[in-house]
Amino acid sequence: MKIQFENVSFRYESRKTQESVRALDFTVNDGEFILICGSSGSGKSTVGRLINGLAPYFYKGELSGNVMLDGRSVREIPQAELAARIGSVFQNPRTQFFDTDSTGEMAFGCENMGYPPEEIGRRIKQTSAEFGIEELLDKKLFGMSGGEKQKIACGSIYAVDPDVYIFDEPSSNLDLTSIRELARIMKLLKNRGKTVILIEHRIYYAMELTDRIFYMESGTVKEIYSRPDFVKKPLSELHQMGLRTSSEELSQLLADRVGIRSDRGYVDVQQLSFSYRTTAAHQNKTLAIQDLRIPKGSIIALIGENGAGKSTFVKCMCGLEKCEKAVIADNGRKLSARQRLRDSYLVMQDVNHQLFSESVEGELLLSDPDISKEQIESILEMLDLGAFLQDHPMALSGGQKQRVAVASACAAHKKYLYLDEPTSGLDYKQMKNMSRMIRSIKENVSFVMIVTHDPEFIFECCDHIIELEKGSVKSTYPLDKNGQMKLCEHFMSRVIDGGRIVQQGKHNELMQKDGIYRTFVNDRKKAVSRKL
Amino acid sequence: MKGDQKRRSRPNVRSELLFLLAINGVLIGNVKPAVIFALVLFSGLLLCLFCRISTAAKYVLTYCLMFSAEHLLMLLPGISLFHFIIVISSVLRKFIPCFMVGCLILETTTPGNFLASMQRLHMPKVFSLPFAVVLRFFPTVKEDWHSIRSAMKLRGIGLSFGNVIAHPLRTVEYIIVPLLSSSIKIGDELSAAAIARGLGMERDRTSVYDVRFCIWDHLLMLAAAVFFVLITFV
Repeated sequence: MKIQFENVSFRYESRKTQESVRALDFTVNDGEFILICGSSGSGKSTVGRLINGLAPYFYKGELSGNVMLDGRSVREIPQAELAARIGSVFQNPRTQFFDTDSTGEMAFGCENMGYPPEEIGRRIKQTSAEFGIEELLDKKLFGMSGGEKQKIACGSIYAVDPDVYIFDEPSSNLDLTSIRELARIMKLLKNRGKTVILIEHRIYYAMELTDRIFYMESGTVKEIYSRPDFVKKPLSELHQMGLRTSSEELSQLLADRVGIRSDRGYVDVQQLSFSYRTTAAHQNKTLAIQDLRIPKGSIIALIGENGAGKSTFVKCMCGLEKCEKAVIADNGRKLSARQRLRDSYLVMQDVNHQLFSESVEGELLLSDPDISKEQIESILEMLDLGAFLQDHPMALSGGQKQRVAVASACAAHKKYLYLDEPTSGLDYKQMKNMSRMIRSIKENVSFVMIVTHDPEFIFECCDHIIELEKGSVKSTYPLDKNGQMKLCEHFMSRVIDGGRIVQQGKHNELMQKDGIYRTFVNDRKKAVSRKL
Repeated sequence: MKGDQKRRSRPNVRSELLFLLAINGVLIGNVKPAVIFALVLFSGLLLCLFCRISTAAKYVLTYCLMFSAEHLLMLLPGISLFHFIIVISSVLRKFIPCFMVGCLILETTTPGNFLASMQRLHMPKVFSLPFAVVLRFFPTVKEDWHSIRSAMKLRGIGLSFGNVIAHPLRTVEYIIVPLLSSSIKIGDELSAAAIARGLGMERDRTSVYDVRFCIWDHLLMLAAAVFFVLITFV
């Protein structure tokens, strides 16, 4: 299906002051794979909504100009027909399914179209075979991992068989493995000749599928690149555009910090065991940590695959889960679960769950009723929230809410700060801000521990790595010269290129072969030695 | 198709709703304890068959405990506090069978199944859609509830006995505010996704769910009739 934008502008009813997109003029040809990128707030999601009709049908607003699908204006096409011809996959796997059963969910779109049940059954069968998701059928969607939900979401669209697919930041909540699977599904769509619009700031996973790249800035398409032109761009320019980079480019992310030593002692964890349920594999596993040393005064990245026990570990450390036998001691002083609960704070993935007050100031007063005006000001100043003292927390942006949560932790004099995937869905600039914020509060707390899948962010921000695997500590090391090598190995042991695993294996094996991995490691060695 | 067998072996939401309607008299009428007890046991049996045994056991045990506690208190000398507790408990106790059937409905009905069943009853979409969305929301709210409780514990405003007694209103506020704000967001995204996939269409939906009555539905309707008679006339 050919998509044409003719001088299109759109202004949301809720944000009257400023047009979300303006003067859009472009054509997407039938069967093209288009990547729309740009930093948050550049209007890229609005473009998707204009194509699938959600704007102005659901998101009310003022539309001028024409969005044409195969020569017909979207305004003249009933929403029902649009739903049949344009499929959309959204950012949050939690909120885009309607049924609670996976097979029912796959059928949902077709049911709305009024297809006969036998036909729907045939389509579900075919879709699940092509996607390789047969084992997910007839399961409850609650309890599935984000990646599994996202595959079902794609499947339910595929079963309807639309001409156009719109993906609106589908990778934001996924780990590396799930992103690769998503890219595989996109490849399938491209091979079937579908038109695909991918709206993203993580640009690497589908790069090899992309025909053209639209770069958006403050509501307009600023530049249109062909893929060959785009991949030639240096990293710094991509970062300036707010785009996130891939793990292959880690070599260019030279961290300046070589061997951070802290003399503030350690928090020791011994005999921590806890039984937990993984959402990914639907089975019970045991967290068993014999002996772990956490250096105080540092920022620690907690890494590992989905289901490795990262979140459970953090909950145990916070004292939210009871593990009686565990011995956790701060420089030899034993901490009970109750003390840990009092002194720890966890910034959750969904930060909406942890803001309780009517203003930012109230949020800090809730943490410490006796806090002085000056203290409030200095905390907010440090976190770049000075202007929002009286604002309602819910009126702030996602990143600001996260900072308010951190501010309330500072006000409560919490010593151990944990963050659960704080950078999911952030563009480059926001990620940099997050990392600056965390570094600035580092001195005020004993340590900051961050659960994360984001290599760029780790290089930017962290001093120490703890890697979990199947419920136990696989390795732990400072992020010095050797640590950086080791971390690269972790992210690189499967070399991904455009969503495809091009090399896989152990460090030594890969070093023997000629290929992207060896080139990368050698580059990095050179870079590190240059620094010294 | 796959899964048909599994779906057919549980009662449909229509007969479950009929059953719920039939036993509603329990709440208002002056019903014999033996009848209510039979009802609790029967609902417990249903929960064992179609939900988890632990859920059934929890309800039946709660009922038995409340019942025997009331009778024990009645034996003691009449202090007004005891009377108060007896009255409260005997009112709350009557809700238990209704809760059990509600639990059964939530467990055996998916939103898609519900929409198909209601369409069979020629229920207009204006009525059936909101209820289908409610079915979708329950598990979501449950997830949110857990994480809000964790967040409250970390802020030292947990649901401890002391906190609830000292600041009951404030505690409710701390639960409601984040629950509402995340529900609004979820509701918005949910509607957008459903509309983009054609839920708002005029024409009748088809369904992969087999919503014909099976043996369980006939049994349940029979039970509904029996209990209705027992509650109303005995």
